[in-house]
Amino acid sequence: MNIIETKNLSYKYDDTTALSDISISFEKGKITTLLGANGAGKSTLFLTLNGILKPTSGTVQFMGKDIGYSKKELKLLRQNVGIVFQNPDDQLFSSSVFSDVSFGAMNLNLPREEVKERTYDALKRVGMYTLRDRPTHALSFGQKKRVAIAGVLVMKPKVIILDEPTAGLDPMGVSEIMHLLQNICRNDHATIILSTHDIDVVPIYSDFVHVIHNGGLISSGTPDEIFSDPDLLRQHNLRLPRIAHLLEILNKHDSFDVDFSKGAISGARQELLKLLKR
Amino acid sequence: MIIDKLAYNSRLSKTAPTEKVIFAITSMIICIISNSILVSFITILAMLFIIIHIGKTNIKTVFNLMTVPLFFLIFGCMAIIISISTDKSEMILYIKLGKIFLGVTKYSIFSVAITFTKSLGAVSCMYFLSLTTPVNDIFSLLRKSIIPDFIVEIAELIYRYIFVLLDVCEKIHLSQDSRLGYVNLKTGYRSTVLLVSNLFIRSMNQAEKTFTALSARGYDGSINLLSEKHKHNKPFILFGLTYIFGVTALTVFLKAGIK
Ligand SMILES: Nc1ncnc2c1ncn2[C@@H]1O[C@H](COP(=O)(O)OP(=O)(O)O)[C@@H](O)[C@H]1O
Ligand SMILES: [Mg+2]
Repeated sequence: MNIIETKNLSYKYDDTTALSDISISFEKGKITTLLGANGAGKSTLFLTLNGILKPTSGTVQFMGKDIGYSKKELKLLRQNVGIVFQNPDDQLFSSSVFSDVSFGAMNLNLPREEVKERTYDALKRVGMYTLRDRPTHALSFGQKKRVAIAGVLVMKPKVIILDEPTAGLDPMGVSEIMHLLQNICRNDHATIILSTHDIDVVPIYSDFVHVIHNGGLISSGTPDEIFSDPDLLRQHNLRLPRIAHLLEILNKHDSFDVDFSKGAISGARQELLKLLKR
Repeated sequence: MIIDKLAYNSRLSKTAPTEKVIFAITSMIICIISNSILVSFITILAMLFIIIHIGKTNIKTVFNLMTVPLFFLIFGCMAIIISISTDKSEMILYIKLGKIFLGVTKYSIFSVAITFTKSLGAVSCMYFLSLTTPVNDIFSLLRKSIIPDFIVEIAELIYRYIFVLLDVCEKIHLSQDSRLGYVNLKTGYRSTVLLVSNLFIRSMNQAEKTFTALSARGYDGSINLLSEKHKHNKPFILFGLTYIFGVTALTVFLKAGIK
């Protein structure tokens, strides 16, 4: 079942067309990656998904219904569809970590006790509980990113959208954040939608991938399906994961019989073992 | 912005801000109205005791911070201590400039001593507040006060984004400097103008981005935040109450004694 989808959606910033006639859907309870080069329209698409930007034409549907843009409808939508922005400094506005995280929950008009519990819980989930008294400006980039995620988790949204959650993080930070997202997806049954141009993380964590370019949808599928057509990716300023690229060279240049759509280490290992045992 | 970090690291940072604000303001008022060198001295010592002994802030840092107002006070007091007169009879020390005497009288020494200690006392009360109370506690206190919420919200956003823009400013300056943007006075002026205009544009963009991000989290015109419950610090309350009653009694006694 699709929890959120767009129908022939276009969006123009004054004279730049950022999205043109895009119909894209996101399945409930899955991790879906939006893959696209810089300027492809990933951030713009995300902003239309929770009603921050109103499409120039076309519609956005949440749970099968067109979203409305009245104040009340937007509030309800944003409660269900949370966005974690690319730059945590855009999002963290309070000088206290605890207060900042509480903001979203306070906006749901919950009783104070519940707000407090949810805030503590969200901070624990992202591993920032012990640093909750720190001033925001004394945190590292990775820590700010976690607090930004907690600020959305606290609202318990059905869909969590993350704009380039791994950008600017060190390798350890990337795998921690991706683990956390996997956890949220499995334990809370939330739908995760994220954008990236970091191709190597895609096959490890994504259930589904959409490739977009110049505001249009190029292809959709499981990571294996997407990576089985490397030429399409290259045409759109993207590439295969390094491991898949190695397998592709083995396949095309050295004429080995390997399936190069396997971008994750585990899949590639199976392929190579098969080859070696033969 | 070291002073901000000091407040977070103080043992008193989690004490209820209301108690600290009341204590600081009461102490300051007593120090000022008592108009006594003795009470001022006691105020200074008491504040240092709380900051250093109860709050566990590093002694050296505190004394370094105290030298800042000390410096201004010394220069300010120089102006008060010297009086100009044609009559030298009351002067203890003086120099003659034509018909005029420049010098120090007994009265001016006394008034300087009292101004000096009183100012330092009041400043140390404020230091107590800023070295033990994180800024966001002050904000949460202001929210509860009669000050309109939007003013507190603006203040809080300004405080937060000062750090973000300061960072941007540093980066632009560094990148200009590494490309010889400040190699002589003329390029220096040009680079500064570019930096300022760039910073202005950045802050406009930042405002828009922040507004977008706030909207995404359900912002509807007012920023409601929860802050953590604060603890009561027993040594502080005991010391604070004893101190205030003691000093008030001393002030009353001194005033009565003078009359
Ligand atoms: N605020 C804006 N004003 C005008 N044009 C914009 C704005 N934001 C993005 N664009 C343009 O829209 C297109 C898509 O941008 P964006 O959605 O940010 O891409 P991505 O997130 O994939 O890098 C780009 O051509 C970009 O220049
Ligand atoms: Mg983007």
